[in-house]
This record gives sequence, structure tokens and C-alpha cells, in this order.
Amino acid sequence: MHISEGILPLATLAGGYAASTLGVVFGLKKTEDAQIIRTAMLSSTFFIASFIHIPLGPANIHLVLNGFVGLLTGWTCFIAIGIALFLQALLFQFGGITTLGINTFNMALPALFCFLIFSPFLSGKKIPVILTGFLSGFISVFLSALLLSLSLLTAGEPFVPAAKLVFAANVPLMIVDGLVTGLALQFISKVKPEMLTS
Amino acid sequence: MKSVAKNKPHPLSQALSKVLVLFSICSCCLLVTSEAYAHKINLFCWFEGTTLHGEGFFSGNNPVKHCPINVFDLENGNRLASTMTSDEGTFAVFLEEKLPVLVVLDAGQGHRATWTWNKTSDKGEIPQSNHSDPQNPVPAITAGLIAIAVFFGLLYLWKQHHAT
Repeated sequence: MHISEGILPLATLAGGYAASTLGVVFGLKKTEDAQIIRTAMLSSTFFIASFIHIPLGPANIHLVLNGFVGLLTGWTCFIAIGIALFLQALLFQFGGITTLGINTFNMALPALFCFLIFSPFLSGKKIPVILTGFLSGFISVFLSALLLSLSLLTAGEPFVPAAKLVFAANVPLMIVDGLVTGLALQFISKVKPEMLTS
Repeated sequence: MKSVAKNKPHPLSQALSKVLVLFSICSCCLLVTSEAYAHKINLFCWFEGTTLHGEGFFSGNNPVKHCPINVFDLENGNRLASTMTSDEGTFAVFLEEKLPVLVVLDAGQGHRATWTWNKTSDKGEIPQSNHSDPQNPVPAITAGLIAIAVFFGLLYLWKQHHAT
């Protein structure tokens, strides 16, 4: 899900940084003291989730959990995801520093989208929590893969096949991420239900 | 009334419970991380004349299929060529001359392998390999988690300072 350095044009990189900076600034304004611990823990969860690889045919995929992070952090998801991606780039060369902006944007915007759409269902009982989690995990990865493919398309004609392949390769991840998000939310709803409503 | 007040959880214990739930999720993830790192990516390249040949594969000799390959000039960083790996994970790039190069294989999902060649390192054009995944990621992961804690700790102090 990370885009490496040396692929995207300068305009895409700059646009990614600009959009992500807006998200982080807005998140900082919205952050309340009580939310900081939760945001830190979910940033850690996102940071670690990328190391859980699942073999799938000749390749392997890794968890993203941006839908899970988005649902529980809300407007501060740009900060949680941004700092995790920065450390992944710094410590493991996942993605890169120049692509940090676009990678943050590609993963945090769908997380925020899922928060806005699905968080009202967490407090109500209209939809089971596990289904809300699955939809959130599935749609967030779907949108992230779509944004990732669109980002690759800006690199020109040679990357069109890669853009299509990246999207197709992420379809199993949408299902896996949806399942993990659904089960995680189901677990939280049993042991700490107030986390889903606060 | 007294018993109700007695049963009401303390705000600090509520916050600690939240932390414990999320920390347990993180810990479970951390425990399986070492196993996850068995899936590393390898890149082998070699020159035949001015043609650069290469092969990318995951652990278990599974080929890295249809992934972007970028060849950069090692001296000035300019991109010399781009291509994609085949079904067998192989590729070939025709260069005008045999230059010192950096080859980057981007297999997606954060997997990135590099291979470099320069004239001084050329010893019979023996294929070399390089991969980006560290053998033991746990110290770096721990450092990352500490960095996150420090960052949000500073953010908390900054918010407190601006609140007053």
C-alpha cells in the first residue's frame, strides 16, 4: 500500500503533502487531551499492522487497518497515520520521505471517510458492530487502493499496468482487513463498549 | 446511593482500561511480527554487455511478478530506464553503455529491494543481491513505538501549554 520514492512526479508529491498537512492541522485543532492516548495507541496499532504479512499465492499482503484507526480516532486519523508512516519510512524504508504526504493522504482520507459514514452506527444498534467493522475495513482499503492506483497513473503510461495490478492485488486485502476490523470492533464492544461511543 | 457511587469506576481506571485493551492488541501484533518477516524480497542482477538482466523473488523462490523496476544512474540519480518484471519475475533493460547503476524493485506493500553496481565492485560480474527487510525488526519496531509515545507525549504537553 506504500508508494516508494522515485516513481511519482513532483506535482503529485507536492499535492499529497499539501492535502495531508491540511488534514494534520485540522486534526491538531480537533484533538482533545482525552483523545491523545487513544490516538497514540491506534497510531502504534497502524504502525505494527503493516508488519503482519499474509501469504497469498506468489505474493503476500499485509494488514492496513486504516478503517479501524479511522473509526476510533476520527478527525485525528491524519496524525495517527502520518506519524506511523513517517516512522515506517524512517526505520524500515517502507514508502519514503518524499512520498510520505501522498501515502498519508491515500490511507488517512478513506479512514476519515469511514469515520464520518460508519461511526453513527457504532452508537446505535441498527447494524451489528461486526458488520459495521467489516464494511469500514473493506471500504477504507478499497478507497485507499483506488487512490493508490490513481496516484500511480500520474506517473505516466509505463505505470498503467502497475496501477491496475495494485488495485486487483488489494481486493483480497479488502476482505481480510474487513474481517479483522469487524472482529476487533466486536471484541471492543464486549470488553469496552464505551470506547465505540465516546 | 452510596453503593452506586462506590461502584462507579474512577476516571483514571477507565483511561487505563482503554490503554490496556489497545496495548493488548498491539502486543498480539508484535508477537507475530517476527514470523511475518520470513517473507522477504530478493533481487539479483547481472550485466551481459550493456544489457542489464535481473530477477526478483520472494522467500520460497516465488517470483515477483509484474512489478516496476527502475534503473537509476548511481552518480547523478537520473532514471535511466523503467520496466516491469515478467511472469517469472525476470526483466532485461537495454542501456546505451555500462554505467554504475542503482536498480530498484518495488513489489508493493512496502517491499522494496535494491541492487547497485559500479566499476570498482565488478568482480567477474557475479550476481549480487540486496533486500530491504531487516533480519530482526523487533528493536526497530520497539524504537518506533517509543517514538510514537514520545511524539504524543510532547503533543499533550504542547496542548496543555497552549490551553493555559
